[in-house]
Amino acid sequence: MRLFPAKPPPGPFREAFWRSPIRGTWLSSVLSAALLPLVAITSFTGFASHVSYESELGRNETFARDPVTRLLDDTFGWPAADWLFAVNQGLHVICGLLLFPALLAKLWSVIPKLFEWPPVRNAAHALERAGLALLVGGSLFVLATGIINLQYWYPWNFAFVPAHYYGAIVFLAGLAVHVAGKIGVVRKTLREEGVKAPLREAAPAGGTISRRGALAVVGGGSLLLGLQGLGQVVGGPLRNLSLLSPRGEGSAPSTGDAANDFQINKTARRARVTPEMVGPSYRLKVNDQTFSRDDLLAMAQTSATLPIACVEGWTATRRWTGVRLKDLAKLAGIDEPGELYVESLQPSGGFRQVTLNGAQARDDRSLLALKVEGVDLSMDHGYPARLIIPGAPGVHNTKWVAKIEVRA
Amino acid sequence: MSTTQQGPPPEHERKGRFAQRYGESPLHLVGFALTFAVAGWAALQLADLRNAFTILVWFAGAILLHDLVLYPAYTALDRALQGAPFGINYVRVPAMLSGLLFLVWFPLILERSPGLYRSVTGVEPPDYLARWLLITAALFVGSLVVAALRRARQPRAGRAARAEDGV
Repeated sequence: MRLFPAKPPPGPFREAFWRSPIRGTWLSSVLSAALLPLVAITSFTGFASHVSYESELGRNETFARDPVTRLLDDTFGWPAADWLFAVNQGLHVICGLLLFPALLAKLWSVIPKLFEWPPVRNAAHALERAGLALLVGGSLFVLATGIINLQYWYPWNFAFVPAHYYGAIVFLAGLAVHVAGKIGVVRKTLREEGVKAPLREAAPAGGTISRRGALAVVGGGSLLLGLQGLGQVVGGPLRNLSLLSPRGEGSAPSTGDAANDFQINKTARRARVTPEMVGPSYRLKVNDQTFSRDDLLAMAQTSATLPIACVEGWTATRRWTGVRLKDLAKLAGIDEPGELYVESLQPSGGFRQVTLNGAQARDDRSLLALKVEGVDLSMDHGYPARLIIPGAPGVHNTKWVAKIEVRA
Repeated sequence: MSTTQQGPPPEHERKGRFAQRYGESPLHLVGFALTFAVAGWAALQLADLRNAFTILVWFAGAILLHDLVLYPAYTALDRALQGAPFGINYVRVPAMLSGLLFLVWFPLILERSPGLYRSVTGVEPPDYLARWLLITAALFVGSLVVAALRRARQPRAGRAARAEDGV
């Protein structure tokens, strides 16, 4: 029984439709070899990013987790390592951007297969094609949602975090079986045809660009995009080169208060924290004691140079000064805090509170910061007091801190 | 698939009954069963989410948008350029890079949500459109310079070759 006529219908189903002579196993293989490590880094840092939120503590959870994710969270803690989150998110976003042009090129190189004839040869072939839908749909979905999310645009009505997280799992499921089936072809092609030799060839007859040229364009695109991501992670003069990314050149306020003129994650206005709330009546509650800002300033002050690193892959590193969380815990009668629950003046929103783990609570560099670069924090940076936790996600550096509960 | 000196045996001898009916080895089926089990499980975690259906629309939409809109559009554009009387790559390369930047950063370039940008960052959104246009212009100018340099070098090489030939 034959489902489809032997002769393909006209158009893309016929080989002659596809003109570029540089398409082929070699180009697809090289692109795959470039994509695989980038996908590996982006995926690993994605899951590490989830772990960094310490969802198993307090009310840190950002979405209803499945049992496997819960096991992941319970197994791995997140250490208080200064640059860990900044590097993790930088890699996640930069590698995601780097792989985007290579993914588009890879799809270009294999698109004739979308129209292969017959569309389905047998059951195995049908499964392979359905698996490719997971792979292609998954990769485009995860990259599109990730890239759009960076730009403060929400053209969807679903929750970004779980969609991006479970979308990535769908993608990786499709990828795993695809790699298992194709890695032999890639290795054989690159071993037999070599990596460099085909690069030295001129454009093939009937073609308009050499394979070297095509790959140079892909690499150039990756570099252009990567630079956009790099500048907002590294900062300094490199930031001026990030002209199109949301936290690149021109994204810092210029109020004349030089110490406070750096990137803001959420303004006081947006958080609905008013000047009255942080005025002379402001008190910080630590277990059953209360302190005014002057009380806090009178305590032993510690300084630390630490980054505020956002999950969206941008960083601002500053010198913060304030009271060690450890010292506050001691005042509450707990020398070795096991957990620290912190609440903001911010009236609503998921990140108006955080629960820190023991390593974060006990670290010598974990501060209730009162100043930045020797100057009082501005309202938008969390005046009267904010958390600065080494290696924690940006949103766990709670601003406008009103209450701390030290737990043994 | 490796071939031996004698050549591969006929298909009906090489493959078992399962492979004849299914098309591949049982391991292939196990692999895909696992894939769909994991993917299905992940999709189920999203099913209880508000507006879960939209996620499905975005997932399928991403494939359709790429395969049936983006790919045909840039291919058609590229084919339109092919008849041009100049070296196509001097136009194609800057156009592709500029297009890539637009594809990634269009929400900022087209100011899709200046209000949220303002209220989150505390600053006016920079003029991303102007920046993108400037980068695009720089890419095309750079390409033109490369083209001019190459053209300037070519006749000289030609002249040198003729001189060596004693012309």
